[in-house]
Amino acid sequence: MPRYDRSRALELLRIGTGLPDTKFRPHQEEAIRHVVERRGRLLLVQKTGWGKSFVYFIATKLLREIGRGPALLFSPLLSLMRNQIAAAERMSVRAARITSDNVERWDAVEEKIRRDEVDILLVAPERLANERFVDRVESRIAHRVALLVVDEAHCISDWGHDFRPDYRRIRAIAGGLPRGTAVLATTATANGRVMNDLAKTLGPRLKVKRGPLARPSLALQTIRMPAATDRLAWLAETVPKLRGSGIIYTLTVRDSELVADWLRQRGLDVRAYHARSPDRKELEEALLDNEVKGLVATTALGMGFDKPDLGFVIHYQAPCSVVHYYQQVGRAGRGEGAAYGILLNGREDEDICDHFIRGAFPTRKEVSQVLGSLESAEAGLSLPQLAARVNMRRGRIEKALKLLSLEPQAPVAKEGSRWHRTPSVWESRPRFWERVERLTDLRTKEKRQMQEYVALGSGHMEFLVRALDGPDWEIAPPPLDPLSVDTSRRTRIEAARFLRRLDLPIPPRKKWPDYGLPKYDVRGRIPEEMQAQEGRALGMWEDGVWGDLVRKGKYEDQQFDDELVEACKSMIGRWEPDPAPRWVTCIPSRRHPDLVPALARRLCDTLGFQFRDSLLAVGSREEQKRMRNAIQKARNVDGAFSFRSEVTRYPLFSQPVLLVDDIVDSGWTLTVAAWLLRSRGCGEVHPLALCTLSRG
Amino acid sequence: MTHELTPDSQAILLLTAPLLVGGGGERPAGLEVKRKPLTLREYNSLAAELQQRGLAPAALLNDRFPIDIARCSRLDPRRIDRLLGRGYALARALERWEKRGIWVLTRADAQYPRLLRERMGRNRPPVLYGCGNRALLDRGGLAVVGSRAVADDVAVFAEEVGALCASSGVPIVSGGAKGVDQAAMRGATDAGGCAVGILANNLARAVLVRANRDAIMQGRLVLVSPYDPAARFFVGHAMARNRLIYGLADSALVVNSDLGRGGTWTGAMEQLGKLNYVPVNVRNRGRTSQGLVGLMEHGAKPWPDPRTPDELRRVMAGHPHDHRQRSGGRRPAAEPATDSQGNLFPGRGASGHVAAARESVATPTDRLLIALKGEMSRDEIAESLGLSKSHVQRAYLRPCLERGWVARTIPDKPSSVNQRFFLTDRGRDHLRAPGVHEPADTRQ
Repeated sequence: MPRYDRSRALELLRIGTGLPDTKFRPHQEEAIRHVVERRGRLLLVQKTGWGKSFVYFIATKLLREIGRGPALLFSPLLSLMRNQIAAAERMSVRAARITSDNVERWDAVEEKIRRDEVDILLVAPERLANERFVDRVESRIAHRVALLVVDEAHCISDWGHDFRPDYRRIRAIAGGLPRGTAVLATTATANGRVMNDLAKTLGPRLKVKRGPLARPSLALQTIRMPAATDRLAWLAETVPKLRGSGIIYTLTVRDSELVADWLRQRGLDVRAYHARSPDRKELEEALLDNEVKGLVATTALGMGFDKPDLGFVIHYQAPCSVVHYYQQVGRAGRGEGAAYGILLNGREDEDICDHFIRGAFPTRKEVSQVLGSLESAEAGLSLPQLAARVNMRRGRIEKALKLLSLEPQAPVAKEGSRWHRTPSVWESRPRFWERVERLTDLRTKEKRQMQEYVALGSGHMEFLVRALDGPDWEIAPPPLDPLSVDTSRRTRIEAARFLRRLDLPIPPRKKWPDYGLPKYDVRGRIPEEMQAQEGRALGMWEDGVWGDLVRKGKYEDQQFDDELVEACKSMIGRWEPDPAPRWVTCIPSRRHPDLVPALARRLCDTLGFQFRDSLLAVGSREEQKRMRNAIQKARNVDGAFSFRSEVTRYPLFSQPVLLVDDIVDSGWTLTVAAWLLRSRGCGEVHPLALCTLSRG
Repeated sequence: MTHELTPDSQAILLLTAPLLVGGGGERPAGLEVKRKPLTLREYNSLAAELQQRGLAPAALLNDRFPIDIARCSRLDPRRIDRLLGRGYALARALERWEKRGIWVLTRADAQYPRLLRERMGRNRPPVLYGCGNRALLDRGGLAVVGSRAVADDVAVFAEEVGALCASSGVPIVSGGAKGVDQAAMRGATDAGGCAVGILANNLARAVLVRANRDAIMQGRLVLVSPYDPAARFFVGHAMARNRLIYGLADSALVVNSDLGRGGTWTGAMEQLGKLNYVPVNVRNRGRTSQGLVGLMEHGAKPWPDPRTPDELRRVMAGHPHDHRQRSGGRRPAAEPATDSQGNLFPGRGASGHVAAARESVATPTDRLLIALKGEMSRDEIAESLGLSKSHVQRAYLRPCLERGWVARTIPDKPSSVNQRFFLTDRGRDHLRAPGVHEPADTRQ
């Protein structure tokens, strides 16, 4: 049995922290010892910022020093922060990271692994599904891994609030490990049931170390503000008064952009941060260095983000569960100074949560469609081939395939770029659906618990700790006075104006769908001179501002409100399409033959342009919104319009044109219309729509 | 987890399996020499050492495993330690196999196929990977072997044999390769019968092939391989695989073969020679082939070509799993092929078939003792058995000399050119002992 070198461990801690007199916190040393000496399995339940990374870095280093292999760490969020990386470097622990966005570094990492120069490899669980990662990186380390670290281990449990499909692989791997490979599972948030489940997965020899959860320096408060205008106004007036910098969480990418735009317009130095932000690292650094007042972020700003002096965490919308809320708000109040954790609760929160809950799993019908197609395929199907066969959104197809492929005896498997049906019998396995139902129920309960939290007048921290089965004895009162909930009328009016001026770009499509459009006989790339220009829409179908008016006009009044016409006019003023359009045409419809032409004519009257019909709707087809993926939508448009050749006699035909439609969905209708017009010699085509269905 | 590995099986996999992580199927990177899995011989020496101490393989997984065991079996203890340190690779490989419905059986598992345990002993593969109904592995059946490239009529023959087996409730055991193998297996499964496919490579891909899927799902097909499910094709693998095909069957039918070369020939010759797990038959209908004639000359019988389920069952009943243990005399003789039209071997009379049938059930040593008349040189013995001289020396003469059943006429000069061999009294006693397959006509 390798001896655990106590003085070396303490020495590493002191080098790592840079504090020559520091000592281990309770549990830290026992944890390291258990892993190094006994090659044991350990679950650490400690709040974020407690120092879990010191446990695995020091354990890794000690294992390496007695000649054992490297450590492999799985974490959903690899934003190991600067201070952690610096600590590892000081202890000369050589850490390497593999993420989906650093493929260009894989060669170097692979080379380092080959030369045994990596002590700990950090990987996101979904990499395990990536054959390139498996072939190039994992295969080089798999036979030597001495320590498996599972960060955010609660994600393993399908009893968990945060069950992640990709963790099912980790669960299977952890369950199949023989004795001799040490396992360190860490989490900040595991309630009793999740802990039981983890104990079952990680085996009877699992040791558990659990610490308190309360954060005494955090002042929690909840404020109900159904209207977005009120919340925007409150943020604009409150955030400047708060000490230090912080995070404002939103539920959607679009809202993070929207809130950031608004606050910047109000003179606050904030940035939007979400999974699609190109400069995430720079943004994190800017917040760490207090160069910005705050980041307006989705949950993409991850659990690993550690800034001890964060002054506030404000939620613009309520998360769907109390545990998520605890994790997110717990990013503040880690250091000495007091911090605010404020939850604003909007009208839309519940809808968004319901949407997440409903969309989390495929339906039985979706699963049987996907399996049916794969069963009848001779040699498997690629994703585009599958999308051409089943009328489901591509994202839904991918989700179904992913969840199914992660089952222990998966009914589907990917080989190269094709999906195949495996010989595992599926129909007689109700466990998948039992789990789906259980998780759906659980999430509904969590949503209700969140609503209870929102309604609290006091005792917020107690509520959170209790919800997480925390072992805390005593909970201190909030360290700060509550914030005012008042806003001025003037700010509220400005917020309302801001919300009405959200012009959304309609990006042009540059390629025909996979397999082309046979009736129009087109495929591949669309020549640039046949494409539409980037268009504009007033807003989103469900934005609560314009969407409601469009719905009313289309389905109740059979006529669009004057306010929409006015809004289009002022949008064109802001937009300034270039080259400027000289005439107006529109998308024809057999279902509502007069609705859009009437809108286009009224727009012409206010703009002083002339209107001309240019296209004819031919044949009967399904409503575009019933087509669920881009290939189906494109096919539904194939041959749907013909060109009215008489319009070529119109003198302005060769000039740029404004192409009007009411609702944009996939953009195929506009793409085909623009192509028809351009290929007959029309000038640039600028699409204009009232609202768009996609979130861009 | 649908099936949990016992600690013994975990240890066996860690020690002997390549545990390929990565779809490439190449030698896994990081699997340098010091982490090379044990060969069968190496593993056997380690297992013997464990057994002597009354330990099971799982003992190696304990915190303080007796590292001197490795030393005693002349293995590098550091290599053993490194192999056992592949826990993550094992868990990951299991996870990947299970995703495709692939299970693992090791020598330590009670469900390990009985026929292989009995016939191959210590030479049986330490690990079997498979997909589908495991119970089929203990049902015996008809081994159908042949080459990849075959003429249409030969493929049709194999398919018909498969279909006939299906209607008789006899499983087909074959190699899953293109040509004869697939024709026979498809013939069986398409007709609602059962098949056992023993693969030399790429099990993980084979389970996705549509032609296999339905039969696997209905429990009528099992695919097995002694090689990692991600392993690519390798000639040596195909050879060792052939042994398992015979090993899991009750009787074998060679549909076509090259003469003197190729996997089918070598595999059948091994059976006719030292292994002799099952009787070997050769196709006896349609166009002839030099390879089949060659096999006949080495003791293979013409396939009686049964046409009805009853006929097939009778043929199979002549070849129960444990044919070695039964007396050859009481065993119902296989139906001799007639000289009617279409007979492949008109030169051989019915009696020749019977003799061949009887010979083929005897062990190599017994066959030598039977063939030895008076004093014979090695060349004469080889000729009378229809085998090569070196093979006779290795598999026939040497064991008989060691047991004292046969003696040399010039004992002082074993390699003398005038050396001849004769039957000793001990050899004669052995031949008379019950259970030895001595045809009555040779006793005179």
